[in-house]
Amino acid sequence: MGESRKVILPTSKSPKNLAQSFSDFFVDKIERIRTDIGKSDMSEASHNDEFEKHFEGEKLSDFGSTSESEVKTIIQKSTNKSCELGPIPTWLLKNCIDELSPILTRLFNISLESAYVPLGFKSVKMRPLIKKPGLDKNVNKNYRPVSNLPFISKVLEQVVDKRIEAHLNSHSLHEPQQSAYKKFHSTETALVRVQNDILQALDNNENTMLVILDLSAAFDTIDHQKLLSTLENHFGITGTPLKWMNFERTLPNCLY
Amino acid sequence: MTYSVPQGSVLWPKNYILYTKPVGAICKKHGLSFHFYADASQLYMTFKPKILNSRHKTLQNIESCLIDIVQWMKTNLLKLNADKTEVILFMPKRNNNVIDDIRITVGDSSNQTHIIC
Repeated sequence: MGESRKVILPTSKSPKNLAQSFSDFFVDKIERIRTDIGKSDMSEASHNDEFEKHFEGEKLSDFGSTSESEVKTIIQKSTNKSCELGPIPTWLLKNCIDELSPILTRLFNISLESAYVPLGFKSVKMRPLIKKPGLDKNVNKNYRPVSNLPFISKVLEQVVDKRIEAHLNSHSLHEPQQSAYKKFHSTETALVRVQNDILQALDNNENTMLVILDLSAAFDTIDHQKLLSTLENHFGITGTPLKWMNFERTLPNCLY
Repeated sequence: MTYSVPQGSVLWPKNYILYTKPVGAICKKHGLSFHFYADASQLYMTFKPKILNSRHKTLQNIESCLIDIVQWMKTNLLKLNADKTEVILFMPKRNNNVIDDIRITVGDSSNQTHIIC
C-alpha cells in the first residue's frame, strides 16, 4: 500500500502517437462489438417486456438539496487518491474543508437543481491499464481503459448516488442476487453463495450444472438512450434527476 | 460518444447492474439459480441424477434460458462471448458412472462441458 506502481505502457515513438493509437484502438473495439450486435431490433421489445417490471410508486423526481455536513462527511471518508485533473490535491482539500465546503455545497446544489454538470467536472483522464502483469506490453489488446475522474466530481457523484440508493432501497428495486456495489457484499460473498449451493447439492447426492457467462466489454456497449428509458420506466427516476443522469450532458469528455 | 460507462466513476457502473437486472428475471423464469457480480454472471441448476433424464432436462432448461438471455442482450446491445462461456458439471465422486459427452449450445457455438467430480 502506498508504494507507487510501475506504469506499464507499450514502447512508442512519442506520447502523442501512443495516445492516438490507444484512442483509436479502444474506440474501434467498441465500434466492432456494436457492429457485431447489429441494430437493435425494436420488434423484439415486446418479447422483453415480460422480464422488465414497470415501475409503480412514488418516482424520484427531485434529488433534494445537499448540506454542508453531508459534503463534509463524504470528503472526510474519501481516500486521498487524487486525479491530475483536480485543481487541488485531496489532502489539501481535506485540510481546508471548513472554508471550502460551503462553496462546494452551493455548487453541488446548483448542479442538482438545474440538472447541469459543468465541463470541468466531466473531464476525465483515460489511462490504459494492463489487464494482467506479464502480458505483452506492446499489444494494445492487453490493456483496458480506465477513466480517472476529478475528485470533486466523485464527491458530487456520491451525493447523487446516495439519493438514488435511498430511492432504490425504499422500493426494493435491487436484485438480491447481485453482489457488486452493495454494502456488506463482495466478490467473496458471491463466491461463497454459489459454492455453498453447489456443495449442499453434492451432499444431497445431487448434481449442479453451472454456466459462467462472458460478456464482451460489458461496461462499454451500453446504449445511453436505452439506459435512460430503463431508469425512467423500470426504476422510476424521472424529472430533474433523469435529466441530471442524461449522458449527453453528464458523460465525461474523454481526454486521452 | 453515445455509449459506454466510464469505469472510474461511482455512479455509472451501478447503472450497468440496473440495466441488466432483467437477466435475473429470465433465469427465474427458467427455474435457474443465479448470482451476479457486476458483469460476471453465474447461472446454475441442481438436479437429482437418479431421476430419469434429469440431466438432459437440466441441459435443455439451461439452453432455453441462454437463448432468452442472448436475445435480450441483442435487443439491449450487449454481446455474449459464446465461445468463452463455460459450463461446469459438479457431481459427487461416487456416482460418476459413464458420462457421455455433454455439449451445450450458446448462441451459435457449441461448448464442451467440463466435469468436476
